[in-house]
Amino acid sequence: MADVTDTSLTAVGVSARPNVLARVLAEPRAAVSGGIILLLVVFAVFAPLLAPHDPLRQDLMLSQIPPVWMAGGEPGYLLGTDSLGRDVLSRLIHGAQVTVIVAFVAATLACLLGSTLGLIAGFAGGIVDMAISRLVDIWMAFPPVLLSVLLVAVLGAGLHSVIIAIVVIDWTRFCRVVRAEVLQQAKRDYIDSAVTLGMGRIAILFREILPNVLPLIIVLLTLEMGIAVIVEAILSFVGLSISTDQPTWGGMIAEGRQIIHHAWWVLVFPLIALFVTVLAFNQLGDGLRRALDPVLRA
Amino acid sequence: MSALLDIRSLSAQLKSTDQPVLRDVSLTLQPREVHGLVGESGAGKTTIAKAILGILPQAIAVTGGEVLFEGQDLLKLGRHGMRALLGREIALIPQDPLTALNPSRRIASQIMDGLIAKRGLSRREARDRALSLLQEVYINDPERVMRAFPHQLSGGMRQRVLIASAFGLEPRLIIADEPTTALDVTVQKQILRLIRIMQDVHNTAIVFVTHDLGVVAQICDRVSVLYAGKVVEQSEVTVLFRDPQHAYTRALIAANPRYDDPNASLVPVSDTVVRDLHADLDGTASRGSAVSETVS
Repeated sequence: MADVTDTSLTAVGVSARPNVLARVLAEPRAAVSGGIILLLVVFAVFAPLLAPHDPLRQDLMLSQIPPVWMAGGEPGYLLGTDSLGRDVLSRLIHGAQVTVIVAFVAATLACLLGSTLGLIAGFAGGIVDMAISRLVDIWMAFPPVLLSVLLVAVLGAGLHSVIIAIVVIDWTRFCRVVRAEVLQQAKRDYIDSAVTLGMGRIAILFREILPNVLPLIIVLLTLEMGIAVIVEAILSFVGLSISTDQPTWGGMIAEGRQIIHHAWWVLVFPLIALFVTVLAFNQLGDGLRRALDPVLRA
Repeated sequence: MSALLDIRSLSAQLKSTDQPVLRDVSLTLQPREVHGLVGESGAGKTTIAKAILGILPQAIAVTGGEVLFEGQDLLKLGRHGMRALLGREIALIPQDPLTALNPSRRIASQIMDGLIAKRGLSRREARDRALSLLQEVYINDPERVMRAFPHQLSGGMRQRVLIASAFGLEPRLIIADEPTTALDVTVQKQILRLIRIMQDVHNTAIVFVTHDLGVVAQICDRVSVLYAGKVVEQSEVTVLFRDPQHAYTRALIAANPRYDDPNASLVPVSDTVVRDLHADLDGTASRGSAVSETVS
């Protein structure tokens, strides 16, 4: 049988395979941004322990103290205080709570809703696809800011209405992209192979198509987390998010805006926190894409 | 011995233009027989294969005839009945091994899928069976291949995996849809031998779709020559090459490049043959009627 075997028939590049986590960590972007997000989560969870002061305690005697390294800074107030004498660092740390909750909960819900509808639309085709796709078209025609402001106004301010607003606005992103990808995958030969294996439609959707769409969904999810953080900040900025006894970065930026000329730190630090967070989510998405895609990772 | 597969006067056409794709195709396949379907592109080879598998594209409608598998008309089975049969009694070796495997799943789970769903094995049994199947198709390091993703394997390797997975289901009939076309020539030969060996061991009947008469000579017992959806000649392979009856068959055989004589020029299928074929198709000619047999 010498003719049938071939000495070159060894699988190349199949090493002892590192697991998914190891692959993610090997991707510098994903590792760094993942680290930042982990840090953010730690801050959010342990905020009461980590914050040096009560974020709500006002003391007009300590109003607008500059950061510690500037002239007039107080050692106890690392990043200074705002006009009501509240510690900026403590407010930042507590503000991370809202940011983290919104990023994870709102983005995940939007992802579940949108991806499910996208999978159904792409795979079922026909009238179901028509209905869902047209709904998405109509949905996307609404100006998102107007829609969210309207929603929060109707539902009343609060964390849950911010989350609902984000889900209601952003599920369409997932739906569109997932549907298109499912259509792409459904045309591939390996789907025909599965059909000729006599596999059922549901099995094909979950075992054949979903694994190929999943990396895309995960990347979209992390991007959506960044977007959710921004949307929450915008709603806070216009005063439509959470009541004032819970600090939020958007709210801090709004307060800092009025005193930017004599106390810039009140505006700049939450802005930096926001910027770094959103950047980290976006970079994580990119890093995950490289780590998860079986073809790119080769 | 009764026929395993009996296609009777199968006709199909494009829904949009009513252009015929298959014209009154009949062929029978005995158990363990390897039956070649040859013809140029668009002759309807793959359409026949897809009709057997029930995966005809939406654009094509069957307009008549039967596809009897062990006496059961596959065209009337419906999606549910087909699903029960596919993977258990009928399996496919696809044309392009590069795209026929799911890129994001490991080889092991892709082979095991069918074994678990169709042969009722447990996961452990399926894994052992998959390993021995990979050995059976002469893969040296089956453990590694099992863990690999498709893109980590060469085309020939992937085709071996697909062959292993088709024969592993122990179907009675395998449709091999140009299984060597996407491979390079040296690998082609190995794969053909492999299919023949596997066919011997597993006693499977094969419908072998190809455009390559050389391949037919190597692997098939009987052969149908197709032109424009019509069977122009059907016979034993040995007979076909020794004594081709139809002008088109002769022209096809003559068109094969000669490896023993590098200076010989290529012989195209002549216009006369094609014109006669078309005259035959357009006329009322039924199968077996006299066709003009001029070879220029």
